[in-house]
Amino acid sequence: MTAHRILSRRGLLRATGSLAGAAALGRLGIMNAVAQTAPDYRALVCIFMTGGNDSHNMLIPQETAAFNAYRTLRKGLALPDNNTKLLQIAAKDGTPYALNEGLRALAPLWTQGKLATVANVGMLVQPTTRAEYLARSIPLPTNLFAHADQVLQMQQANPNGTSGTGWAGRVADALQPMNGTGNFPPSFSMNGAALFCTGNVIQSASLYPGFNLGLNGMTAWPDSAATARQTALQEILALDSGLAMVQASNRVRSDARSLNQMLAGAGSGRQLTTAFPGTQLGQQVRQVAQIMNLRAATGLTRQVFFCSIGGFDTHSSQSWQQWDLLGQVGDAMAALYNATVEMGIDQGVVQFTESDFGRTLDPNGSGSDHGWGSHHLVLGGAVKGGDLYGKFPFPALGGPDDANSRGVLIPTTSLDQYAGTMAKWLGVQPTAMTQVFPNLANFPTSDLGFLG
Amino acid sequence: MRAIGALVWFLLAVGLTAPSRADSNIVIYSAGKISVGESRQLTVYVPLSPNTVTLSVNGVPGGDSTYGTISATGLYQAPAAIPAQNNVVITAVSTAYPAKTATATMIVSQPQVQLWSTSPTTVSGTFTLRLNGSNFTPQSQVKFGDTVLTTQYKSATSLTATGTVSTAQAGTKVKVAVVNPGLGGTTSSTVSVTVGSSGSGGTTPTPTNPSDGGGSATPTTPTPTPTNPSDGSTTPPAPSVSIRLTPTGVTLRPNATQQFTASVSGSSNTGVVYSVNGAVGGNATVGTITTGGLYTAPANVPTNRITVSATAAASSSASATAAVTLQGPPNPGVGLGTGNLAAARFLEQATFGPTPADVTKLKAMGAEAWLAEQFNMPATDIPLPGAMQSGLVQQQYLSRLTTAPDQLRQRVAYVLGSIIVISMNKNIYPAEIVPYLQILSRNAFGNYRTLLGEISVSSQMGKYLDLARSMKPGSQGGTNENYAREVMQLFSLGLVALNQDGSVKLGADGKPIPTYDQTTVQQIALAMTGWVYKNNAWEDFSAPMEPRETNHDTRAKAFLGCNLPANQTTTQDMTAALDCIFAHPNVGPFISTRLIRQLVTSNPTPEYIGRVAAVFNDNGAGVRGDLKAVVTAILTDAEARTETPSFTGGRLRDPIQHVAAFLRALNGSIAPTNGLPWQFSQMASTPLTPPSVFGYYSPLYRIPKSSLMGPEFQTYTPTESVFRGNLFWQIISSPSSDFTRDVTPFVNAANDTVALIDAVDQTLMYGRMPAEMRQSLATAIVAQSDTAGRWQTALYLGALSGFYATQY
Repeated sequence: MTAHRILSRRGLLRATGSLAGAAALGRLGIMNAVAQTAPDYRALVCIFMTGGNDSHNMLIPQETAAFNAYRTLRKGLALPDNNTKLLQIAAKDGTPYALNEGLRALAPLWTQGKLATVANVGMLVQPTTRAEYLARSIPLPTNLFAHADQVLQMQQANPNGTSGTGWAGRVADALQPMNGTGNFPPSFSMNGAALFCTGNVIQSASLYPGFNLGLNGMTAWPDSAATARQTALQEILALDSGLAMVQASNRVRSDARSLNQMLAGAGSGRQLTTAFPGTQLGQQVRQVAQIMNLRAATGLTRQVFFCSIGGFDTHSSQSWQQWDLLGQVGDAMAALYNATVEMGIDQGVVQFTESDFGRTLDPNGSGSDHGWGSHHLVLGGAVKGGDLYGKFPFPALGGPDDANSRGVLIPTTSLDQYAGTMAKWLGVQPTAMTQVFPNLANFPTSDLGFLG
Repeated sequence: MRAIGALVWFLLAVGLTAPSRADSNIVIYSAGKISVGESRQLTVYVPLSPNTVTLSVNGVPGGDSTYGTISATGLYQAPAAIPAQNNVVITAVSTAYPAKTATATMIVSQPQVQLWSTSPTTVSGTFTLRLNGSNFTPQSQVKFGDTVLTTQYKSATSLTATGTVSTAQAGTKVKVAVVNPGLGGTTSSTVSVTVGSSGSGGTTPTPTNPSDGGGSATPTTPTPTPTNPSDGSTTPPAPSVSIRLTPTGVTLRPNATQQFTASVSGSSNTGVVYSVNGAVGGNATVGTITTGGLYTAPANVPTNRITVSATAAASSSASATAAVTLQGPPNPGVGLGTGNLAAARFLEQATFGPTPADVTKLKAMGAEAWLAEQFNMPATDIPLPGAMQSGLVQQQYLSRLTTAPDQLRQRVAYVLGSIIVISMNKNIYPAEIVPYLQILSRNAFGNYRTLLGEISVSSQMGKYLDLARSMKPGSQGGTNENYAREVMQLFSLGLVALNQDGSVKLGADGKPIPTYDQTTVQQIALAMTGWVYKNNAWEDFSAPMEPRETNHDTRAKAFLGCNLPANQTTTQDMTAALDCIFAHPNVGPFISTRLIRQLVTSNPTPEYIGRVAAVFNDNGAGVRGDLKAVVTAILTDAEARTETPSFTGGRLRDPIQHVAAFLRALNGSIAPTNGLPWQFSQMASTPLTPPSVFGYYSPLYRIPKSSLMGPEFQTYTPTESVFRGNLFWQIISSPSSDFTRDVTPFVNAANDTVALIDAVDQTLMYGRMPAEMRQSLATAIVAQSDTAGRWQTALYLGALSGFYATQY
């Protein structure tokens, strides 16, 4: 049972290309070359904005009354300001909204119908009203507004934070039969180990962009000495010890060798021409694209990916910071979208955002404080884009959507519904859905309709 | 990865982790790949009342012969042949709530083909290879490198294949594998064959070093099948009943199964009685056989030969036999280790790795005296650094693991910390974590009940699992159920009722019995209301929590068969609740299993768990929960001490254990201030910072595509393995202020290849390095251009080997 015998691809075309001007090469030509096999392939890519993104300033109401209320209540945080312009968009029903100008790379994709927003999403046990929340009369997620707990809960889809697995890991568990019997991990984090990707059954893996999976200490002079080390290691890892634990641990190390070769191949022979931002997040999504590019070799048809970017805990000096961070998010997501078009799998890849929580509408000087519900972005060829899903709250302090008096949104769409919609699209059967999202059944709809 | 069919039942031995809303979801466990003809006990977890379900296979209740059958109690019997669609869906539907269902997929595969060895092991020119293994079929193909050889099927355990080496292959080693093609097909692991330089020609087997791979190059000699019941002269004319038994000989691994088929001719009565070594149905020593001819090999290789016989019911004189050769795990070493092996193995389990001095000492004083010394040694101090020095807490922790003389306490406290979890991802400041470490250390050899008591009211746990400021209902803040749930699920009971041997207890309906339900959680949560930080502060980690009676729910509570009267104080209710939980029969097997997994083996036998649980229940002096006695029982058990490696034995070292052991083997340690927490964070092992209350990895994780437990494998991914390897290389090649290590013995031996290999073998494997690995090392060593290259190569390859990644 040696892993990855699919590796021995040869005759790799060595792309001459610098990345510069890649977009100008013309997507159709690339697609013809790369997308000859576009069988059933679907993947989810989570872009986790760590720290709690202030989505009040990511998606801004533009109807006159709502915008006026927003400007009044947001005080110094209200957009537009000296740093951040507003990019006008409209939902299908004509309701005007604006995107933070940091998302400039994504705004055109709204117009093209590839980008959607889902309003006021957050952790819930069951539908929750302000009265119920204030009376604590129904079960609520534990430790709302606390980073450590909410990051966990958003990754686990578990309102108590008590799970050893992430929802994407459980999705991959449920889809394991569709992925055949290969050994390539279906669940990848691009920023070190993440609970989001951990399943009960599947092997999850983690990568760091730019980290070379080739072992140190395997080079030596002369080349024959290095080759001898490599050969000996291969032999040792392949040795039939007759001991299950020894064999299994050797297999992991062999898999690393295989994965490294595959990624090296992806980086040279079948290099994508799409340009990726040089940011940390840009490099994470580049790695995602490289792994997607291996799909024919791995045989995987369903994958989940986790990327993350920090810095959203904007208690002060929010304006420029958030514009900059959203710029990194938008640029990275747009680049990955372009890469999926280049690979001919844009219909099969959905990117979406998550965050610890939203933030207070009521500012705290130059920043905002921890909140709960938050608007999110969904991007992909299969997204019924150019529209807003869920219920966008009218800006108000102490209003029906406020958990207190500072504009802490009580979510009107649960994470379970948001994630469940994507899991269903990915192929999780209705019967398995309750294992993946234990609380989904508490909500009236399990499919928000933004995919299809 | 075979021979595990018979082990499936004990995989049910520990509490099963269900999704959090354990009160509403059916879950099917143990699905996955299964070979044709094999059966597997699935566990259906039904947290409903009544908890009966209807099980079906591909929509057919009870299943059918095409896609396999499933019994009312969840025993799935795979079909005898691979079905056209070999992904088979098992569905469980609640009989009471038809909307509650669960599905699981079984992938029906051919039996895993195994290749143990080839003969000869060196070829040249045109050659004929004989291959030994198991589950060969007439369709089996031998792959020599990328070339498929002309393959001839001899038996299920023997193939021959002919081919011609290419010029490119001359002087190299070529991987040989056996492929069983077709739907659900399997591929064996590979065996290397050396290609000699061309010209020597022919098929002359080249004598080589004795192969360790499965030992014998001699194929099993089947006993000629006596089909002739021929001592009939003294008896009445024998009816000409005859019987044929196939296969006539087979080589199996321990616990493997083999279907025998007997055909009776000459009588209308085709009944057959199977026996093993004369015992009808066999026994645990020589293996068992069902009335249908399904033979299960014993767990251990018996001293006498094994013969399966089938006797016709129509005539006791018509019988046929088949020889079963039981192939234990191949001898892993040129010897069975050295005189240091016993001491080193003990120290692998009891410490953060054997140092040369500790091995010498243990050999001199014996395990009993060593344990006594460790039990009596004062606990190493765990200082509380300044408020902002969280990093220092982690650095000092790593350093202590490698330097503290009270190594057994360090190891046991480390294990307890994997059961009772607090993480610095939430408790970020030193005062929020250090007192917890002190509690684990102080109670490592104490009583588990005392430990639970101190943990439950510690302000550190109060923060981590939200018991602090948990109040009676109706008051601001309300009752928090987190601690009540986790103290049962993770710290004491687990989710399902256990037998004392750790196996899952089944109710009258054949289903696992949940240990508690949501009502239990709520009742215990009420009993545990009223605890606040010192002086009812917002937060205060300088002292344990204290009771605040106005916050406490004073109503009567009932849970787990216990009744707490009304109007008890906060402290009285806490004491009573913990006493009640601690008295639950699950605690012994649950905690014992966790401890054994972390110290000795991921896959203990039920007997081992049972022996340890019995000590947990009563240390011999009537005391329950005596950890000193439990640790002694675990470490001195025959299953821990046997030096004969078993196929399923041992455990993967986690990154911290692995690196600590490597440094200690090199007489080194981690420095009191160091940069290693960052490096461990890249290996999913940030010190004291597991991602969730479930710890770094699930104690119930199985090795992927296997039914064997291997918790540490959940975070041992390709990336983590590379970071781990790179850290080894750094330790070997780049001395740093982060750690100390002494490589003098390797430097001194560097110019003597055999002595160098011996040094690595002695230091890391205690004389168990397989001959083939020694050969690989030798080839790599002699190819190096200088002394440093030689010793570094040898030590690095040793550290990267699976033989060193595991305790076995």
